[in-house]
Amino acid sequence: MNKLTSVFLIVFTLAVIIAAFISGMHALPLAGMVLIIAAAIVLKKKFTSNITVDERIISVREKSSRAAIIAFTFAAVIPAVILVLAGKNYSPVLTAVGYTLQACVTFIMLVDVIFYYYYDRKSIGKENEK
Amino acid sequence: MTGNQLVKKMKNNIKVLRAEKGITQEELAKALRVTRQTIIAIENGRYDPSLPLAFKISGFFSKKIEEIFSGEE
Repeated sequence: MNKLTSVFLIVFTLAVIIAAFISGMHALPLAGMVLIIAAAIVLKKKFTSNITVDERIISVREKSSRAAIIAFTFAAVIPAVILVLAGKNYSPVLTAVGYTLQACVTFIMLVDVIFYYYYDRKSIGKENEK
Repeated sequence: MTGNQLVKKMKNNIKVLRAEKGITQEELAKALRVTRQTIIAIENGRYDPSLPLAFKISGFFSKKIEEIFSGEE
């Protein structure tokens, strides 16, 4: 997908979200999402060559996934701790939200570790020599 | 270059070989079944290809891998 198409899709997504907020129609983002997915599939077929994924793209995806996990972890842990601490003084709801966020972070880190060991083992294969 | 020397960066002369052959990055990308961006990245030294791709490149230009790729200390 070229840059122009990507920018168009981002702008369209933002426009749908803003329109949903202004109009109060909460089904709008869902309809927008369906439209965006359909548009992305059509545009991808129209504008891209046969080769869209190669080893460099896979390597870039690996790096972006790693960065996403790190970014999510930091972005969620800090508010989670603040919410848990704040909830003790203000509202138990905040505490619950904080613990939920912490659970999400723990889950994603656990999944990361499990898959790390899975791919680590898989890449080694059977150990024939000791 | 000997085996015990530490290679910090890979160099390649794909750009020169491609110019000699008179083909575009797009054509080379299609022949190697990779994206044009990958060819650009390899030519600029920002991405080191995998061994299978390096063999594909060497096969395409009918040259040995070490004639195309070399290491900088």
